[in-house]
Amino acid sequence: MYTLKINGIERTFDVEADMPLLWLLRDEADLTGSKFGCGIGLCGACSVIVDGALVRSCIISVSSVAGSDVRTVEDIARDGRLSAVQQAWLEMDVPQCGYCQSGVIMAVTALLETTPRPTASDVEEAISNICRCGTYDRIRAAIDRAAQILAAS
Amino acid sequence: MGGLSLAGLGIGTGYLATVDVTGTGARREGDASADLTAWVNITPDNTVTIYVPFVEMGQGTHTGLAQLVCEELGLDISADNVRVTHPHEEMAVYTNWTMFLDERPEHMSGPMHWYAKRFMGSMKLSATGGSTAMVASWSQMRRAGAVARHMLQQAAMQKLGVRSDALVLQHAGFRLADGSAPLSFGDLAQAAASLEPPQDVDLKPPGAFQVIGKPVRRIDTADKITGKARFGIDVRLQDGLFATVRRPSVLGATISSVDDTKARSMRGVRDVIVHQDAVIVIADNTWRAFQAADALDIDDEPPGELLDTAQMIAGLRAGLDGQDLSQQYVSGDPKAAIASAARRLDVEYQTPYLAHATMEPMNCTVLWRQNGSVEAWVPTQSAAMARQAIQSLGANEDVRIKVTYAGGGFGRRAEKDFVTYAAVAARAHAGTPVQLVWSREEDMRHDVFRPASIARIAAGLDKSGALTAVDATLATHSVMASYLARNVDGPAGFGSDRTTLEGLRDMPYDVNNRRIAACEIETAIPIGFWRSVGHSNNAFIVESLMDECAAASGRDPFEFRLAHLGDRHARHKAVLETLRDKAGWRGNGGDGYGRGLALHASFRSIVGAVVDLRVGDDKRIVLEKVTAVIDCGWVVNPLLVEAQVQGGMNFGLTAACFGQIDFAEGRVVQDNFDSYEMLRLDAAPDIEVHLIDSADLPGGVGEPGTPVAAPALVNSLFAATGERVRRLPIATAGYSI
Repeated sequence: MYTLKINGIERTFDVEADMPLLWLLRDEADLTGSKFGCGIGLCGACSVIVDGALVRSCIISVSSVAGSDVRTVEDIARDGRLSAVQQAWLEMDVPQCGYCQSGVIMAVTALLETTPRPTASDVEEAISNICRCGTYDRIRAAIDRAAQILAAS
Repeated sequence: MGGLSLAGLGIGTGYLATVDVTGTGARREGDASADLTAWVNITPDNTVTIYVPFVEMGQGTHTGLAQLVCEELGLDISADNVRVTHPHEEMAVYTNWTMFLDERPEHMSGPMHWYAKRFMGSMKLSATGGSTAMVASWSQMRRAGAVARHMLQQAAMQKLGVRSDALVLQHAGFRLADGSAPLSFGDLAQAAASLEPPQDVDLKPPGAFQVIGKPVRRIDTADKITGKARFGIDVRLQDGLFATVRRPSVLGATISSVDDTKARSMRGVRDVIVHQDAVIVIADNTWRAFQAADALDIDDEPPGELLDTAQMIAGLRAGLDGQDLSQQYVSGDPKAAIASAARRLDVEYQTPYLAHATMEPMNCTVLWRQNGSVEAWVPTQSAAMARQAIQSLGANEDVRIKVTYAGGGFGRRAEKDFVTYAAVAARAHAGTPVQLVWSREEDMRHDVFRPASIARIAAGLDKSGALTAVDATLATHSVMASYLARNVDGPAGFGSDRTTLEGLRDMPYDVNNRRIAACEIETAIPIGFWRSVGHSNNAFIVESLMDECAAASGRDPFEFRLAHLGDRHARHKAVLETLRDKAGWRGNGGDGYGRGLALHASFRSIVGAVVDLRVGDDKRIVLEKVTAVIDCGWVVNPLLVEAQVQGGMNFGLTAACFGQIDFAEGRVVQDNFDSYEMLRLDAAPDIEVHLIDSADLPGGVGEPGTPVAAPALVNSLFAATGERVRRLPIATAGYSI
């Protein structure tokens, strides 16, 4: 049995120690916003924030995050208000198919929490997610916009 | 996927006359809502639902096509009471005639089209592909909006006892000119639905457009940034099970035995099913199904011949050497013209097999009921294919396909395989929904691949440097032949595969003497539609050749192309001239800095692009910028067009830089993103897109951005380094990014 705080709520699951966090979220906790893309931590579609740090949930076991605080894309809008990153994504019309965007949004959320005014090279280093639709131009523009929104708030 | 032969099917015209090909009077059974045409539904609470019968897989089709209806129906697309969804019911009128008949609806007439439309309609052949959604829907969905508006207006006139000119249309309702008596569409819809739909309605003149042509934001973004959007893989049903599939990694191998003792003993595993060349594991969690699949001991019998890239390429080359042609188009006398040319070029271009690698791996969710009726949630480019896959497994006539959002498609989701395995699993557990998800490795190893190709070309230039002759033979595999053999039961003649030489046979440049031929080599490799299909190979060939010819005659690549475009190609010329201007073209660089150009028409649109790059001594490339121009006819939504050109370009650049699927000892070598790399944000160039202002009928935008990427890239590399890369990906020439 493993207890985790997921999006602010403590929940207990009877699962194997080595089940990746992604599959606990998707198939046990019914939180399907985090996506399965590669299963080996290469594409970033499964990115979530654990205890403030960005992780690729397809390669992190449940036992290693027991007792941790897990935030997923379902919980970054608060009190019905989109986060700055989400607002920027909406304004810039970023997603195409949208499948990778949960992961990109979590990666950008984590980046801006530590680096509120990222440089272009900060962004290139931090955001290594694959977007097969190729929305990179708008991702870059939306990161700038999100940083602006954060600075103004 | 066009050109299916209809001859000899002998379906009576009496029956076909009953097939609804207009959709204006379509009605769904059942609820309190009212259908006004096959595309508009209104509930008493004034929720207006717009049905878009094309899968939303990233191209923005749910937004762009809904704009057509909103324009005529006076709807604010962003309002809370406007919903856009894929219809949950198949109808004849959702058939994609444009794709299958390769013709614009506006140009369909005569008995052949009368017959073909109704015959295809009777099979309910909805499909998303060939960048046709806007082309197919431009008149149809505006007309749907206009018919619905007319019927609602008639109902309002009757209710209020006024003439039409007393009514003012507002968002989802009417009011009287003095502002009184507001009536919502919801108030009027029931009465409107009982009226006879008008035969003829006036469509708004373009000058009056308020929604079409505007930078309308996508309607699906809010759900896609909050995790609410449900892709196929996100479908969750009461007591649902999770499954996966495992096939022998050697393509074409048959399963002789399976030891599933260990797999069955693992936690959560409910069943293991062997179906033809696949083993399906059903569990209570996807990861448990993956784990159990890893624990299977599958004994397989390899096929007589093991696939091997070197052999496949040798086979293509042998086809060229033997000139074993399946298609040939000749004009003038290319042999004589080349023999007498002042300068002759002999070149060979080669492209690799490619995988689709949609971000959302193949998956499907099926509920097979005890009575044989089936409901399936499918991220598919063809509900009809999904339905046929399920019916061929013994379901009854009541098969309902719910088309979900798809995490990319690129042609991969036109296949049946991912539906079949899920349906087999669900059939064995009737009454329980089963979601079957492929691992990334299964998805890549058992993809259907973009065919490799080799083009052998001789070209002749005269003394002035004008191109006088092109003699080109393309050796590749037929996409249509492979697709139909795999997916369509029974005879499905298609003549010659028009996708094989698309973009090469019809190259726009004036060349008086030309021979364009194909050897389509049979192969055991499953070959499929891949974003831009034949154009993905042929634009690389034509635009590399043009660049080589320009260089050989010492001419500027823009000037050389413009000189070979006649008056028939005024739109191509305009794209080039705009591109030269927007890119600030002043020659093509040199000394490690390069600028390269490509121009290509596909899917009824024309795209030109200039790639700016730098190359270091270690052959490491920095893609600095892409400037692109598109003429896609009438621009319905500039934001969507820009996004598709950027995305199509990155898709093409990814392939040109890294993309290569190899076969060794019968297996696909690449099986995940470590061995099949993708362009990421750090390497992706800034892509600036310019749209040509046009009043022509709209063209496609989902695919045309892809073909120009590879030739613009290699032409730019040539400008920077003097090295001509004739084989893709450029990694094979030692370049990295």
